[in-house]
Amino acid sequence: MSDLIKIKNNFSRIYSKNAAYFNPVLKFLLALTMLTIINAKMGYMHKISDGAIVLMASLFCSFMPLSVTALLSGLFVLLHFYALSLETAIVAAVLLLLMYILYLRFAPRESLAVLLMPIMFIFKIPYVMPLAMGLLGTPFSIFSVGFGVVLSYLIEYADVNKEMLASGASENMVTRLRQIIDSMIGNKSMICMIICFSVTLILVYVIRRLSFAHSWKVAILGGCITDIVLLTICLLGMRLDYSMAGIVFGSMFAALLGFVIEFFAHGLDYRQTENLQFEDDEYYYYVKAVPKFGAEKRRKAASSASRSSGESTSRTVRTANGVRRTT
Amino acid sequence: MVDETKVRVMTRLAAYEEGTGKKYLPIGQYFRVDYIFMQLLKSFIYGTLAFVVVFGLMGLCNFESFLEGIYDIDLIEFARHWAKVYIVGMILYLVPTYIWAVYKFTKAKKSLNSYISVMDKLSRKYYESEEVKK
Repeated sequence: MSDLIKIKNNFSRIYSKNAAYFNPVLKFLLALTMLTIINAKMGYMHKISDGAIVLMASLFCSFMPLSVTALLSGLFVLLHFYALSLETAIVAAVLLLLMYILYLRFAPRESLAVLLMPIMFIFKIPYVMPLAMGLLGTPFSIFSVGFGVVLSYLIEYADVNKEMLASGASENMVTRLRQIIDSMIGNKSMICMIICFSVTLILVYVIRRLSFAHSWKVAILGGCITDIVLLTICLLGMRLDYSMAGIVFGSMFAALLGFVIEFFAHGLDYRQTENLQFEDDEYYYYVKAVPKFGAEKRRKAASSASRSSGESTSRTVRTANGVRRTT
Repeated sequence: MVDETKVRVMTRLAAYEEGTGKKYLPIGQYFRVDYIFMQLLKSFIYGTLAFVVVFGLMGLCNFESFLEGIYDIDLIEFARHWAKVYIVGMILYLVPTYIWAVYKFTKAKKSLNSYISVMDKLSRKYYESEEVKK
């Protein structure tokens, strides 16, 4: 474990020193991966599937905020749908517009989560998203996960029915539009998946906010088991087209990724937990302080450095109002 | 000569303006009522747009059946039904918007208060240095 913490600390030190170089490179890689996957899965419009276009778009994204990557990915999805059939493009455009108006206006950061969901579906691991958003997001992230599931099923529908949609075998545009909307609204698999993922996400969020030891680990395992149980109930009870092996192995993989997220985003050393009690005129305080991994070493290093330089030690304290420096 | 305290304070201010401040400083330009009203107005426009889009899509899908039965439909009742849907939808959208705007404004004000106190400290420093020069 200590080796892993060393690697993590080294990684974060190198990253914080060179953030100005790392950020554009990471943004570039993210945009390149997303656009390549979208083109590989959909690829109905050959003009934008060209490597040079993808490379230029990714370069553009590397110097822009992350929301631009999400916007450009959404645009690529829309253009592919448009090349396949106008009706699918209309449904996707309405979906993306409603998603922005009703939710992403209030939480623009989550636009990336919406577009990551179809990519997770392509890799057959959508179970990662409710766990990840439960750990890193808020209960309202159920909207971004839900919209992501709808978008994924729309992409899947277009993929399965591409011959029918491209040939215009149905009577007219209105009929085709109605077919797409009816197939989306009446898709039991999609609705069950949205409900299961919402329950999992809220459960993970609630458990990881509790103050008992290893709450994040319990939240990950609890979320994983809930996902498996709920989706199995849907699979058996409603005879849906999920794969049992996919659910089990996908959820297990999601749990593994959840532990990686926990290691980087949380990383508490519960062996060093301190339980304090004190009082003032108005309250009695029961405080539980859990140090982060490596906090003891950092404190020791800082105090020895300050002793050698003859300065007094200072600590950074995070308060409700922001970061306040106390000496 | 470089005043180290001033440099330290200015660095803190610049770091805030580049980081958390980017989100909160624009909110600080409004009075509470104005900010909440502006958000509600935006939501009203967006909500109406969403309604028009959904209504338009549904209208497009059911256009033929609508035309076939246009003489049997009570148009006033039809309009009343959709007006009810619109009003309920707007209430469901505007109430969370109000709560969100109040929460965001309060959070921004709290964050900006500490920024303003550091700003005051800096202006005091400038005032003191000018007094010394005189």
